[in-house]
Amino acid sequence: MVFLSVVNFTRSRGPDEFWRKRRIFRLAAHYIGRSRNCYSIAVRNVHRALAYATKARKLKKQDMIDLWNTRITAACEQHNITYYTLKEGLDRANIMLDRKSLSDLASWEPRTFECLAAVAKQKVEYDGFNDGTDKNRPTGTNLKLKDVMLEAWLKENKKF
Amino acid sequence: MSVIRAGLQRITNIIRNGSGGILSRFITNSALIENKTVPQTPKEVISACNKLIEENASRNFAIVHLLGKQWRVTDGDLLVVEGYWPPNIGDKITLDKVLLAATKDFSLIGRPLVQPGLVTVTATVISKGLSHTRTHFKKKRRKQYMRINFQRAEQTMLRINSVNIASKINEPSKNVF
Amino acid sequence: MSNSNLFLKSGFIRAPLQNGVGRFVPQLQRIVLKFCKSNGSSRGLRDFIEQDLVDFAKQNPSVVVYLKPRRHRGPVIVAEYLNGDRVWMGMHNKTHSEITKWIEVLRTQQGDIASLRLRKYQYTDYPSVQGPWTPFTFKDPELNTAKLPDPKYGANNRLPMTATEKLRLMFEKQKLNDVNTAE
Repeated sequence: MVFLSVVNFTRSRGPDEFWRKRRIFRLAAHYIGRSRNCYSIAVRNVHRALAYATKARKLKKQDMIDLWNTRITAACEQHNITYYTLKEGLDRANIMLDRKSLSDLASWEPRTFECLAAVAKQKVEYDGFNDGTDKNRPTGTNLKLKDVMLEAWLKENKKF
Repeated sequence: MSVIRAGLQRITNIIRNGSGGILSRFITNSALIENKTVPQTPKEVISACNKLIEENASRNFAIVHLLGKQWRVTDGDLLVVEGYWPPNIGDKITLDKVLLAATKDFSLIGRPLVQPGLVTVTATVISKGLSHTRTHFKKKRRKQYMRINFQRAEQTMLRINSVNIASKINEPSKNVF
Repeated sequence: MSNSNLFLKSGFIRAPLQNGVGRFVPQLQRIVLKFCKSNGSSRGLRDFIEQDLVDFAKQNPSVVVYLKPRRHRGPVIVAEYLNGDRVWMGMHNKTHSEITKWIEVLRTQQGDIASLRLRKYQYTDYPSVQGPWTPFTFKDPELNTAKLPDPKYGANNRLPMTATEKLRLMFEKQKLNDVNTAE
């Protein structure tokens, strides 16, 4: 074969070019279109992907905390207590279960969570801490005056 | 007895504390088949729980504090903890910081830990190695600023062998350590 | 969204054959040390072989150690595990102490754990001991046979205390105080 014209504008950037680009292409194997095959486009997308992955590691932790909070709140509502009261009661009672454990118990061990909610409620009552959000305090229809007065008397005389 | 047990889903909860804290209990019943008197005083609650511990009817689980995190653990679980941790493969270990232990019928809540001799959680270390490479990549666009760092964490895999509620409640435990 | 084209595959924790439940079995099956007898890059590996290899083999009777002296090739360690994984590690220009540490890592691994991104750090066959939460866990079983609308189940009993009730309470407390002071 005789080449009549010299091929211009092509030069190899170095012997390692293939391997250098392969590091990017391996990460971009599941992209679509030119992002998978053309280096300049792949590089941009790979850099974005890595930057997103780095930032997301922190965000994932925040997301998990939010998820756990939602689950605990939902479970609390079933037992007529608020998340705030639960946290307050458990903290005062020195029970140091974190959000992950509490949400775990709420979804998989409902009875234990019921116990914890009751403990928190009792502790908060013993301490006289009323955040006013518990909607199940006695109403007019089932108001037992005797019990209420007894409670008030006991509190005043500090019998417990 | 088992029929009554099946009907009575009774949860008693006891708060244990080394320095004698408040004893409070909460009992729920659902679908009582027989009119059994539900224990009310702390003594009855404790004796009922001790009976349940002896019978050992169901699987126990515990919430254990390990390497700064809390794990919900039963027999036969696999756990992977990250970070520097001395125990080598094949070592048998007891996880001592137990925050909560429970079965199907009752739960023991620690303030913050349950009594040391009460719950024993044993585990075996299965494997120790380095995690996959985590790429820490920072880039500021149009500012020629690009940094890349690689990090591999040490990971230890544990197999939880057993979670036992060993002794009875309110009995002083024998020399644990 | 397939897993096959991803650079790093993800999965959950597994232990082969319930390792640790009964007996614990070390997972390293064989380790092959390929080195050159004269090249400088194999110096660390050669030092390791001369000094620490016999102790390593004695302390790990379950591991088969192969030595392959290869001329004009770089030093390499290949570890094979009981679950079939093959881990190739180049020891080119590594010092004796570094190689000792890497061999320790290979010994305590249970396969190629660096190739899998763990999605969760816990695995359990029994996620729930008391039964998982369902919408019917805390509902009264009599609801099954109740005829709705029912005044008992439809009652609004989550109202806050009304002003009338508060006044009643205050009145009763005042009466109590009067009785006390009278005494």
